[in-house]
Amino acid sequence: MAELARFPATAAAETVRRLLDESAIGAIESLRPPLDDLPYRDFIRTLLRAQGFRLDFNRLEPDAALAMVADRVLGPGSFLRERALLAEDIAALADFTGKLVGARASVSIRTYFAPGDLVWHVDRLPERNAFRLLWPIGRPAGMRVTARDNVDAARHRAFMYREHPLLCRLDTRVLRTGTPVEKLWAHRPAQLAAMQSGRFPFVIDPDAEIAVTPGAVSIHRVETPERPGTWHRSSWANRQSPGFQIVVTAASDLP
Amino acid sequence: MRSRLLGRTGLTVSEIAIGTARLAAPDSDPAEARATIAMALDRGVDTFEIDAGDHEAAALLGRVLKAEGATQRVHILARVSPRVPLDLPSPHLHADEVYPGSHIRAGTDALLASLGVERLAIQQLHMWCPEWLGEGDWLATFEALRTEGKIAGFGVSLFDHDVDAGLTVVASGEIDTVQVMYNLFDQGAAEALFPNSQRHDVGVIARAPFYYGPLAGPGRNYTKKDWRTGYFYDEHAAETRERADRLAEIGPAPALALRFSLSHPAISTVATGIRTRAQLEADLAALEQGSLDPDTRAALARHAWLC
Repeated sequence: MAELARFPATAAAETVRRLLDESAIGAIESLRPPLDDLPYRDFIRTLLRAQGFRLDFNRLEPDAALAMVADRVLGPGSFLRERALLAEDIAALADFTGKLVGARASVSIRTYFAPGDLVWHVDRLPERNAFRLLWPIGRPAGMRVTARDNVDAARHRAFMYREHPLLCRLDTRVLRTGTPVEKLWAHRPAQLAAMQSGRFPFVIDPDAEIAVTPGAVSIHRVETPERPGTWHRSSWANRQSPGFQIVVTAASDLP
Repeated sequence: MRSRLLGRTGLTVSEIAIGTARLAAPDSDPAEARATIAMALDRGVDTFEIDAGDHEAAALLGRVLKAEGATQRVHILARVSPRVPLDLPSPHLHADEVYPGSHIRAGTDALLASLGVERLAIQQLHMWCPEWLGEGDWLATFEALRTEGKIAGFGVSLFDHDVDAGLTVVASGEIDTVQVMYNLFDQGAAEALFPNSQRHDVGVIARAPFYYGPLAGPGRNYTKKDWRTGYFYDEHAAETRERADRLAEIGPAPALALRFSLSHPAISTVATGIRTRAQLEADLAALEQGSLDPDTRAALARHAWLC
């Protein structure tokens, strides 16, 4: 399987932006230490044992957002030092991603597995330029990306016309109840099989995909009116261990 | 033809509503289309469903209603499409962008003129996002149109399979009707939307009883230009056909499908696309058999897969 272009964790935003602009597939990655080597591993592992959740930071700073999560899920005052370190890293990622487009980035975290992510899709935003940084900590498999011309757009549109509302409903039910996908969609074995294998009827060559290295930070292009986005999907291997997912999105109308 | 109450509007509508899009499609036979509408009127069907922006269908229906002297005795269930083209309803667009009041009013006035009727029974928003409930001037526009006597009520039409999107607006007390896909393959509306609609006296317009054709049996195929040809790409067509075939153990799919859609007491009318008198005759024959018994409905519950 091919690999994504890589950038060092110390790379400047201008350098990374140039790499992204030069990338045909619109995605690059940066290796990070495994969960065992991270100073906030115990905090993350404890969060991963709790019911899956999702939190959009909105205007909250990372330390305040993590305090809210930790107090609610684990009880007041838990993991103070570890969450401060994680907040520092999230703030750095948000700052870095924002610099890619010259705007403030938005941040969300989640620990539940959204089955809709198993279906090939592009993220979309209305601004001129937009990128999304993902750092899934503690996941066994990396995100898959594929070239735009490997997707039959008309078929994908027809597929999503039917499946998008069903996938949204499925995501909501998984989030609210924690019920396994296999049980919720037992009456849809063909669709379940496609999510397991990644072989969807709108993909031209299902083997023509690139896997992000597990545990790496990846950045991919979001589709805008001016630029194509990167087609991507999650891996079925992540459904039992979705990890602690940090999602940073930055968009602006600057060139 | 039996009638049912259309929620809080107080109107009674025929159990089936003729969907008009296919009557005026480019490949349709205009003479057969006119004869089909006339036959429906003659057999007691008094309800028609139409896209307010479908000028060909409106012109066709208007001509026949006038010729049959029926403009005063029909109920028109209209839908106004978004002003901007959308693949899917999106909360990222404000209701003012999608359904500005001026757009709703213009579509309503144009349809009234084309049809030659004084009042629409219902005007609906064709796609719906829960986020739009508190946005824009669509609600004030609908209320003004009702006060002016141009519509008897208003509602929303939910995107296919997106039944949960209707829960909040039904419970809000703001709308009179909700339109939703409901058929043997997608029975999702029965779970929460229908009970909520009954609780809030919101009329339900069920659509696509034949899931765009596969449950209708032979003779309702599409031309290559029809959007449903792309929708039923090979894999989806094969799975749909296989699942429709499994219904044979219970009974003929077309009659089962129509009777199933009418069996839920929350439903006011079932909108079904018809092109010919033969199709109408088959649907009317199925209707005469009435609702399905509870055992058959329970057996059919196992055939749901698009929910």
